[in-house]
Amino acid sequence: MVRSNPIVALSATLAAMLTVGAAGQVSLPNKSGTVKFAVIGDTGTGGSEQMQVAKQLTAARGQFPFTFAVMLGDNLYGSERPTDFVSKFERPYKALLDAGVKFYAALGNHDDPNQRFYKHFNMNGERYYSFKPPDGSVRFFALDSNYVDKKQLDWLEKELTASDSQWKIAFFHHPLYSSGEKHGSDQALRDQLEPLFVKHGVSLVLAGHEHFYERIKPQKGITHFVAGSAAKLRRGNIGNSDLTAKGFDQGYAFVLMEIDGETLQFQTISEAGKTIDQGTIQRVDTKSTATAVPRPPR
Amino acid sequence: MNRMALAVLMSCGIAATLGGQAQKVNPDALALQDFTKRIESYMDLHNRLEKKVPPLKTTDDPAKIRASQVGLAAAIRAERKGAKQGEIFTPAIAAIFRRLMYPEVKGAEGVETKKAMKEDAPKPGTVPIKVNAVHPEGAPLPSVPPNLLANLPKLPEDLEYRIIGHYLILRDVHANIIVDYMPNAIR
Repeated sequence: MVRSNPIVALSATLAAMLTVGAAGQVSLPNKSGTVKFAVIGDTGTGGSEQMQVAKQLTAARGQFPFTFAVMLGDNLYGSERPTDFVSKFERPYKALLDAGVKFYAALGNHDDPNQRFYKHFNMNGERYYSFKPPDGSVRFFALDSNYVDKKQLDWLEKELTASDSQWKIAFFHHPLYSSGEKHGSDQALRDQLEPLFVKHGVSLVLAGHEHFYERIKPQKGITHFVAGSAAKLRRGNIGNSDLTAKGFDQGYAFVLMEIDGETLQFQTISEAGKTIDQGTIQRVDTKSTATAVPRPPR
Repeated sequence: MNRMALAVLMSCGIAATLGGQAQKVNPDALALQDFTKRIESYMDLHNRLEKKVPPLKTTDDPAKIRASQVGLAAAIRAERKGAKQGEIFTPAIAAIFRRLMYPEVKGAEGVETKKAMKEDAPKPGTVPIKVNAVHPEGAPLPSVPPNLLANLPKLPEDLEYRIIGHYLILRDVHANIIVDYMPNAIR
């Protein structure tokens, strides 16, 4: 299914399945001095699909020199022996690692939390953490959506409060909004996280878990992407929903993003090098002090 | 019962304990204090054995992470060779935990919470529910709904709760082993 709906706060220029050759045609503004990064989710199979997506990702970097990638969890499926770190991560992304691209991982439900000690995931031994790229006024917040306890919520509130970055981007595994027939939206998680995101002006949320690509219509001023198809695919799994701004469940995909001031450009590319979605997000100041508190437990 | 109620419950128990011999003590609060003591006792063991295995620190060599994990699991298993179910989740503690979790899984409002737990759950029979058992490679680690976590007593960094089927698992994160579990945690 490739579905497109009109959206309000998002001016998206949707590409009509452009076939652009092996490397794909990266058509972001691609300006110098901007924050450039890639988004991949549910990657760690070590299979041919992961390799194919990695190949496209590497080719895309030839045109669009992103400096880091965020991983949305399920970084290693199955066993996690030392050889698995090679076959499911180091080998597929070798060219990118060799080029100095940094990978920032979040934990999925298939990940042993001890992955946080693996240097190439840049988690510094933490299940949740934040980082700020050198360029631009952007801070990323990597969360462990498997285990959102009070300690993590307190940490998140503190970090969000302390951040003066224009762009606050959260990424984690379980989507707060999804049209997936397999999983769907995680309501319990949304009840806890969304009020904090709204209160502290988070503009963008990136999640995986669902093995397809879906861009969600802005919810409470926040744009959500589900991008869990960089190695696994649940074909035809996007159900009918008013949430969907754009959905793609017929192939594998990754997302490129570029932030320039108040503007974020994105381009979603399939394993075949086709652009399946692209557009622009204008940062919306969602900060609100009114009643934006997590739902207390019943 | 929410986290605040849990805190009040525990503080009542402390006050009663300090207040004198004749006062009636809250049995729930005492059971939760007992839980804290049992957790502290386990963590003393964990911390002592952790010093004897390769340290778990950031490395680009996953073999070192694995060596630390496997080493600690073996050391804990050897030290807790005779450990049995219920050594931490005693019947009194288990009864309180069931009551703490029940409001989040009952009725129509609990449907979403139960659904979330089932979605991530490993296939039945793939995870051995035994004290000292390793969570098997390849089996997903089911996420714990945040509203459920909010109702349970806080744990130290290296311990976590997980729910598999109707079991509540107490898991050592570093060692990847089951410290204790309670059946029929979710009704």
